[in-house]
Amino acid sequence: MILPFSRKKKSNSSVNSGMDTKQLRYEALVQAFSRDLYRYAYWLCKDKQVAEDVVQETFLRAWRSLDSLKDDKAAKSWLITILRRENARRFERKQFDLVDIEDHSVADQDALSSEQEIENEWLRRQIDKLSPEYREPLLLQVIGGFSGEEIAELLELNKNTVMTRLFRARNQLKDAFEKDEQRGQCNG
Amino acid sequence: MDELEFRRQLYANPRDRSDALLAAIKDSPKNQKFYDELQQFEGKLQRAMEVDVPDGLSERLRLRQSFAAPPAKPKRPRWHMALAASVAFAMGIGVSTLNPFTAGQPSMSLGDVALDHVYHASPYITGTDERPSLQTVNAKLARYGEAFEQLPGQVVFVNHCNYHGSPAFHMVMRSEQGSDVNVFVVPQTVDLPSSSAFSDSKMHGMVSQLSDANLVIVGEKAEPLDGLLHKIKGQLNQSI
Repeated sequence: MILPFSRKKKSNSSVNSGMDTKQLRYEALVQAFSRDLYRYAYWLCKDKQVAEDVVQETFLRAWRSLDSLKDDKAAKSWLITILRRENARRFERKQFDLVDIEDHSVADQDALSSEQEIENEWLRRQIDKLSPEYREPLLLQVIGGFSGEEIAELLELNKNTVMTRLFRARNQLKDAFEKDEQRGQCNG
Repeated sequence: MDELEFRRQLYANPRDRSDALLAAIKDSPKNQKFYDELQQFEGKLQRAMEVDVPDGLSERLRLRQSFAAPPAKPKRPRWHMALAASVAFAMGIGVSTLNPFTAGQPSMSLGDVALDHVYHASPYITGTDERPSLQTVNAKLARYGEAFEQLPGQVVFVNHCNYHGSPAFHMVMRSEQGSDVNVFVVPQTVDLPSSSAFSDSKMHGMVSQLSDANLVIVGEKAEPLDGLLHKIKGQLNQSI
């Protein structure tokens, strides 16, 4: 007990403020990014509980290695990288728990009240049908707001590949959407 | 920019506002129409992707972190210590009144709790072999921020346990000598005095620090623990 008190005051206060700064940074990260991270996790695993678990693990790992995040501008892609790794770990742990799109609704059925909701649900199913290599860049662009370069870096692809995949992903969705609209008009 | 290139660029990034693109919109009513339609579609896409976020998510993230944060080290000015002491005292009263497990054990160490736990649990565990898989073990261990790369030996039992009123990881291994070795991963929030080795008349144990937890192992006196402790730590994956 005596030894710690004999240390210099100055170093004590810097240790304390270091802890406080870390705490503040962590809370700012939660505030700024937890919602987008949850949504991203949700699209990766399509299960609310698993998505939350993945986000919890991601932020816990972020907290532990927060000191390694030097540039706060890179915070979001840093978190996404941790999250993707965390999600991959989940697959290593259990490879059997794959979700079948057909038996699985990505939204609450009872929430399907308005036309808007029906449209959302329809689109979610189409997004679900995209192959993962097209879906993931699209999620990063729309939910994450990342640029082509940033997505390329996150997914370790070159930028042209990313842009091509983004183009194809939207092209597929828009095609399906237009076909569905036409069918709706014919039926109506 | 030709029409095909225009569409290709917009599909790849509907938020693109480059000069070339804006000029192409201005040039052709057809492009303008395509652009407007795509913006509308993009709105729909965004709404569909923005699934509901569960209530209280950010609060739960803060809570989880507060448990994971290392406890305050005795580096603070005196009044902090005094405050911490009175809080600890008040909590001590609360915990010892409410929690029969810890009642009447005011000065236990990390090792004492482990020994106590082993004596209490051994009638239920001796002779069992539940053969938990690596996945089962890691599913329990994840809560304490750790994971095994591989099981460090023959594991016969794994569960969460009550460690001085707090959840901890408890695993029982069968040693090469055939005796049971108890392994605990105790979160650092369990703030008990500890020493790297402890023993009583029958058992002995060792404590080693992990990033956010203490690793405690207990075995019979005749059981050499050094090597096993090393092996367990070697298989624990503490990297990001």
